[in-house]
Amino acid sequence: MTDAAGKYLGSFSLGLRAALEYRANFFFSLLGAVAPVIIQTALWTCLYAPGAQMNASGAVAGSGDSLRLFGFSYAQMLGYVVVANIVSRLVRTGFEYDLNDDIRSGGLDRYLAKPIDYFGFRMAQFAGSKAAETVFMGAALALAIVVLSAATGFSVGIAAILGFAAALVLAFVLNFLVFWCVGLLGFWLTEIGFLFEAVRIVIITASGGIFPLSVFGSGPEAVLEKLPFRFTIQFPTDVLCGRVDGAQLASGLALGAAWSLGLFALGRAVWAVGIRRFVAVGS
Amino acid sequence: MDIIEVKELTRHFSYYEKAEGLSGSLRNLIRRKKLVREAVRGVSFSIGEGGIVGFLGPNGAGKTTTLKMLSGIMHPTSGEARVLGHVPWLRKKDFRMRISIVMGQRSQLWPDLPASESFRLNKAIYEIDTKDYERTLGELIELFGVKELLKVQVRRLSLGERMKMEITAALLHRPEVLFLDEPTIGLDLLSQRAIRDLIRTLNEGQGTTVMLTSHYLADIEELCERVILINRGLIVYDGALSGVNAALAERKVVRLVFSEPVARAALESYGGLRDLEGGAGLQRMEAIFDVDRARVRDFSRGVLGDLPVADLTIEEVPLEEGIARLYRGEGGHD
Repeated sequence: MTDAAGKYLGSFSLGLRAALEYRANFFFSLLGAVAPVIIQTALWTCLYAPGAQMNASGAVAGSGDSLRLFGFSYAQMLGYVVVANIVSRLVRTGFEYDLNDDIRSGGLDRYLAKPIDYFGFRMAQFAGSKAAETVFMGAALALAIVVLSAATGFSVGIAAILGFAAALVLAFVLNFLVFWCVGLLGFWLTEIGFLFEAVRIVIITASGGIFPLSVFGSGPEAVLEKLPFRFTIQFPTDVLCGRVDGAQLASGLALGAAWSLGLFALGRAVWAVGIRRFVAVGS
Repeated sequence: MDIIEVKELTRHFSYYEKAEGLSGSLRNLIRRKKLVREAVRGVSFSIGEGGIVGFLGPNGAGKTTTLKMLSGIMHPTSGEARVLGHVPWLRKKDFRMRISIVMGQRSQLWPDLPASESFRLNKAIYEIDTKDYERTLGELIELFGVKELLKVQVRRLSLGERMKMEITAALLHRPEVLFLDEPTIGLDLLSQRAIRDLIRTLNEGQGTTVMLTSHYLADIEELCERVILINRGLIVYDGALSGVNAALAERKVVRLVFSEPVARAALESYGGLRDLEGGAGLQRMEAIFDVDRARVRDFSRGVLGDLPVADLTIEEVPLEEGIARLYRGEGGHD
């Protein structure tokens, strides 16, 4: 192991340990996922009930057990709701508050004086915290799948699980980079905590974290398909739910990776300007 | 060899003036008046290898700004500096591997984890060999007596304990230059002493060059032979600690204890009366005079002959007072 890798492994380990310290917090966040799942399950159960469908153009096809709304059967929709909720909790960031605090209160100083790259440190720490959470989440997800398969006949194959793992790694990276870029606005704006929440809600919605993107209609869906956000929630969810074939998985991963590279470059450029300003202006 | 060389280092900050009240806030939205504060104004000095230099000044004098520039955290507006041969604000890896900065009011430890976790991260960051790490850590925790606290969450430590951990974290890679900004602030006397002892041990044992700011003169008196005094961004004194008072008017403090009360007017007639305690029915009466060094002999002979003096002591002007006078610009460069 090189010395440089050791630094980031150390940061990873710190994130992992911090996540274990905060495990109660994480369990509560998981518990928080239950309420939206129940609400959405009730909503979709009503909408799928015989005779309850609105005749929105293109939204409804078939009737009874074969009924499809927005391209989803009832079992698929419930599967989507549960998996998407868990994925959105899992990829959720939080480091942007630390980043903002470091910029605002001058905490960045202590990293600037040390031989470590702040971006690499935060990324490794984020990965460490997510590694811990993924273990808890994997168990929650497995349980959800067992319940869903008993209740609705929802099934998941080994290939889907492997594809999901790859899509999830991409989702972690992409979501980190999105919030890294948003967090860097702290170099110019003094109070941006409110912005994080606003951006998070918009991004979760645009990622398919609340409804499948097809719910928004073909026009908005076509636009959202062109943006990177869907790779953070809808794409891994679709992969696990078996709605993506091998070729689509490969192209989705490639496109997501390209978005990641673009955001990485953007983040580096914004950081370079921001840190010059930070060091020039002082904290 | 000079380890730290500073030439005409200057740092300006711009800020905006805000008028009071709602109307002021509204006017601010349209037009803000930009003001410039000159935090550091062309300071120059150099520090040789293995020195401990006290960097003193009142709040807002420019101490922390200077230390930030020298540790690479802040760019100067103009001027030059070299630390260990490096321009600090270029933040080359070799530079960052060889220095350390401790800011008393800013923690580098993770509050929810035990300090040992932060130490391990620093071991990785500074690429410290495991054997060296264990030896250095062992020495530091021994010196500070904090072995039992290594596994306690940092936020559960007292201020003094936390500061010992902060300094330990900053020293694990055995920096050649150490910038300490108020390392003893808010600490009890025992903790202050422990930190002073460690700084001295480090300086004597490893030849670490130390630049120290502190509000506690005990820190400076015990550790620093040389002090640099800065006020309003300008260096007002740079020289031996013993010279702080010598650079000022040559004065002594004469303290008289009387066996019976003496009228104030009689004391004032000698000139230089600074303070009077007791008297008017009290058993003990004490007067303190500021006397020019050249006049001390005549003054003492006079009061001993004229007044009921039970005790007479002649003292140096307290260091605090010398420094305060230099801050006010009543002294000059060495």
